[in-house]
Amino acid sequence: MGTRSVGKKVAKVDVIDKVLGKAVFATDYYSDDMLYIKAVRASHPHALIKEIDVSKAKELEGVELIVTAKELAELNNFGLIIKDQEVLVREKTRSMGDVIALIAAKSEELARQAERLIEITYEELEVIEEPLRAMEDEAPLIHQSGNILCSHNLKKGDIKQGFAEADLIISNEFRTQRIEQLPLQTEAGVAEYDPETKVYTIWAATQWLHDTQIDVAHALGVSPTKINLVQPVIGGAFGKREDVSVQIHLALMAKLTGKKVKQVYTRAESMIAQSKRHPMIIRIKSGVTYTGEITAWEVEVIGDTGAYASSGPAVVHQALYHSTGPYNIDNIAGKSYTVYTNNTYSGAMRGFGATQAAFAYESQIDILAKEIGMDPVEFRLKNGYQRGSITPNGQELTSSVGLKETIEQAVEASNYQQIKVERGNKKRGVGMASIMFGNGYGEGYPDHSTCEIKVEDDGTLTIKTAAADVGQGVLTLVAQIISEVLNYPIERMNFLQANTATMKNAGSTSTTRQTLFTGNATKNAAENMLAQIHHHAFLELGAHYPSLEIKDGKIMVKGEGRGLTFGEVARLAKAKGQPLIAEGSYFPKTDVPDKETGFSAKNYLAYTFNTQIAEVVVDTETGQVEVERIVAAVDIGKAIHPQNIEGQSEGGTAMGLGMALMEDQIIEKGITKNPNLSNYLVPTSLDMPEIETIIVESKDAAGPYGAKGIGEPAMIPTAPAIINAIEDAIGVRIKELPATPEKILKALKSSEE
Amino acid sequence: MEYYSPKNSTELFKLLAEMDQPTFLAGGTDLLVRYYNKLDLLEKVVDLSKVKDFGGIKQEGDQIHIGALTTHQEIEDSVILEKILPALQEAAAEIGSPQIRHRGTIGGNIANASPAADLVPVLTAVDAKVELSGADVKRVVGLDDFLLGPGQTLLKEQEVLTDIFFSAPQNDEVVVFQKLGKRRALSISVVNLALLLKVNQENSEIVDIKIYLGSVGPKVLRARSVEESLIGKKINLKLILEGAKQVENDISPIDDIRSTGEYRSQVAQELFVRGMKEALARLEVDVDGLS
Amino acid sequence: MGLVDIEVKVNGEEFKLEVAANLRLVDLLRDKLGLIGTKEGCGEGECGACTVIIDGETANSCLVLAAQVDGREITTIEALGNEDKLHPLQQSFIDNGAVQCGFCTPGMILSAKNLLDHNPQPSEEEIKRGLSGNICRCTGYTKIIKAVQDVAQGGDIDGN
Repeated sequence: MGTRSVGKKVAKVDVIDKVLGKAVFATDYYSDDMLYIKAVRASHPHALIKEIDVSKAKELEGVELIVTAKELAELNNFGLIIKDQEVLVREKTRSMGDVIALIAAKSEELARQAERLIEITYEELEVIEEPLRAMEDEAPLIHQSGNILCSHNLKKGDIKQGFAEADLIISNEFRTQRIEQLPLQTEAGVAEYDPETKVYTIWAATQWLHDTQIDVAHALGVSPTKINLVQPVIGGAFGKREDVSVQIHLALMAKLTGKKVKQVYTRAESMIAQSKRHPMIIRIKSGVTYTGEITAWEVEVIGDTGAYASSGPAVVHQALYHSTGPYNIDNIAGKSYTVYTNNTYSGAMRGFGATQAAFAYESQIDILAKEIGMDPVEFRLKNGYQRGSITPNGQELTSSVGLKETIEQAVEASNYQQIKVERGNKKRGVGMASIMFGNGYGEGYPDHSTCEIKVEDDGTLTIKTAAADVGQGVLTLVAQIISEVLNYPIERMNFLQANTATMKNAGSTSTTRQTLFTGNATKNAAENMLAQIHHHAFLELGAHYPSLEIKDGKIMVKGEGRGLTFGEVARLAKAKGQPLIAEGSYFPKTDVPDKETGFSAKNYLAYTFNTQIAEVVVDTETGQVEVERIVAAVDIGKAIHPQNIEGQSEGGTAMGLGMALMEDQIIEKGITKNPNLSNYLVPTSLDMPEIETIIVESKDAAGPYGAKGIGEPAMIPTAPAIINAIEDAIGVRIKELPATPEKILKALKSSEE
Repeated sequence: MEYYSPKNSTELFKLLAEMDQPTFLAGGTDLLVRYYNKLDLLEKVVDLSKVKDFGGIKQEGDQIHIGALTTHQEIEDSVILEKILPALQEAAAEIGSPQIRHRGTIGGNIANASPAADLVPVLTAVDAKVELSGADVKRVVGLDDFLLGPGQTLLKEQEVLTDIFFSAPQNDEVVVFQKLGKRRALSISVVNLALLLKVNQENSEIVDIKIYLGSVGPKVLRARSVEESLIGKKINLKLILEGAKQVENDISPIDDIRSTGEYRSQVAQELFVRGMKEALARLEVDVDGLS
Repeated sequence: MGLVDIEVKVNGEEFKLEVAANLRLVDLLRDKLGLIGTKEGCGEGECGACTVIIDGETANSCLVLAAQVDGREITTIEALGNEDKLHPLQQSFIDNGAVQCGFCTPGMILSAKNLLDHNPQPSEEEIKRGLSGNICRCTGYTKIIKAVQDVAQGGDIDGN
């Protein structure tokens, strides 16, 4: 039995500790003499801070330190793109998550008791709830730079001409809600400060170690070499662990108290204080001919980025760049606005802005198909991308365009044509959605990954990768690639705990980039290692390269039965002063989009395509929707671990179902009304449909072995597929998510009148 | 916070005699949620869960007694209730999750007095009574009277709800339960409903009907105008649908974080229709227009 | 804060402890006994990450006071299997790809165990219902349900 495992199901490398309950998450670090940190947060979402009285809290026995911005003037702001977030709020609050004071106490309970004793007086300002209000000329400013943080443009062809060529012009407005990523583990961490080396060590989960390292260093005004971030096992992310959460506060308090400090967010805190999915208003005006050509597509996207920028500038314009879906359209015009409000800030969540865009464009596509009387499958196939298609950014797709295969295979596997006839307008409906997702940051954003492999004296491999495994299985992917190149068993590989002190940048676990970036960097490292092993074996065994092969953990001379174990090669190499260490990296280039048009000849390295078909039953007396079945066909180039691809597809579908039907963080006047899991609903096991995932392999994508990523595309088609299925079932179209029973019943009643 | 754990009712009442305003704890599935991160603010917690006298489901003649500490799981598993009042089991089976059902108690579900309490509508439909025990005296109150509003009951300070009892429905009576939540588990009711129906098998006339709805007002509400529109009449689909329209008169649902008054009103009508169809099916009554 | 003396058996081991009256069971297990396998995801009984087995029934340990488990027997994930011999459910979760981030896994496995202890041959719907108090945000539940089905069909629910 070979050890090469690309394309196979292997046990995940980190899974034994997880099933035994031994995996150490950030919440699981304990030590004696630790202090517990509690953040005192704003009690008004937009107000000037007049006075902070911590005197009573300070008197509580067991409270060791309380700090506010006043004592820490030297702190700098932080933020992923724009540094507009204060470590401790100085003059005014902009949202309920803002931190006004930090408490360090001997127990969590004491810290909570101290928090109750802190009194803050405010002068209230107008709370800006909606981006449309924020965009008005006389609206009060949340940040001095203005309420419209930024805007972006998209221009391809001639939009006027496009509309002139159309037989029908159809406009619609779609709205998506504020969604909470809800990884099951809330924000948490532990930190300590070494006064001699002046190094801060922080154990806290992050999707990008080296980016958080810089953000923390900058806020504290120190060199990044003074910040060592160590990655615990991560309890889910979905975008919520890109922004700084506990890290700066912990570092600060570790230094000020001289002790080890720990902080754990409550679920309510996590929902109120950390990023969300951007609620968006997306307006699409499309021109289409009676014979089914899309001639023009005009889009406006308004994204509510809340009180701080976070990933907002990127998220909202990514929605714009993805706003046409995977369809050939010559004439496109679009504009996007990232707008501040006094709501909890919005940042990254699975799919970035492409998820919201897909709800809009796949709804619009179905509407157009219906208007011209064309079957939705036919309409999509007619306009869908293939090799040679040109994206809205002007990028020509030269490889790995499996869109039509995903449509055809999903249609076949779901028995779509037959079901459509059987169901349709009888309260049982079927709907589809086809989406595309650009892998990686793209847009000329400088990005790379590195990986290091070392062969130890005993023949085991020590692998250093800073790639954050958030549960999706990137570490397993790395192991598989190494096993494939070196024909070496995964059981003999050990992964060191990721950290910034001893590992190089692997980039973010986000933008669906790890398979491409860390995958390719790993393959590069493994091939480098293979070359080194060949080199030493060549010299030691005196055999010509073509006659060397790796078999059963040894490098052998073919047909001669003699060879060296990896351990022997390692010892040999070390003795020569050339230890067996190989480092690989991946530094692809993409192009920066033009400011006026968004043109970028190579905007993304690859596009993943996903088509989902949903079967639903609508209870027309209660408005409840049951999703019975989802068939997903994902074009991921090459499935390195098919079972993990399915796992991502199933998990993404669950998240998409939640987005379609039940998830909504309700913020009124800046205050979250449902900061708990009894009123913020995600699907339980009983809410789930049957899910079938079909893997389509177009094989020539930019990733290792032709692979592309699945993490985000997995969830993107689900909501529009369900909404389209509801329309098929009852003739009612929901344009504002979530499609709650209340909305469906109301829409049914008005359609009856 | 001081914690007390009496082992029997004598110990309990002796304890209560010396205490004012204790907080009672049974399954903890409401109290510990309400006081999450605030348990230290509670002064005296009296844990009822070890008081042996308060458990168990018993049948004495045609009277069914359910001890206040009976868990939802025990209700779901009860052989007695399976025969006598399966609707109560259906209600218990839809509460929360398995973990919640293993701990939550009927006493807690009632005394917590949430308008959405799932066990209440069935119990009021069978005219259940609650026994309230103090140190020296026990008294019995109708469940409907016992509940006053959200979080408000007739319980006096040193009293504990100890038993719930009702007369077993007769052979020609049926009780049904309907719940509508926002997802299929861990779901607080948006509307719930129970009804008791007795039909004259010969002439299909409604002999008796009681309808109770939860989550549509400050406490469980009885749909008297619906009952009045139906009683003594020959059952048919048209009658049921007209009766449904009357539901609006008897309820006062509000907008809250979970739903809207308008939606609750519409769904309440639908749950009534479904409840009637289910009841008639169980009674094996053939009705015009009903398929 | 009042103190309460309790005697409790955890994973077969007897403990005699003095606990604060307001200490929750989840904190007793994690903070005092070092059993970090039991997690806290919400503190309000809505996610099941804190699931343990008390006297043969699952419960959300965030909704139980430590004081209440005097005289009781608690099973946490640490009682099931070890690196050399995993419990059949643990092995099945691995084989079926039912573990992603792993935070829900201990609670999920205990709920599955409790289900099979009471109902060794559950239907798919019964499995879903048995797991309905455990939220997973990563997997979509599909492979978890399959993992439980495999153990039920294999007939060896205790790994004997």
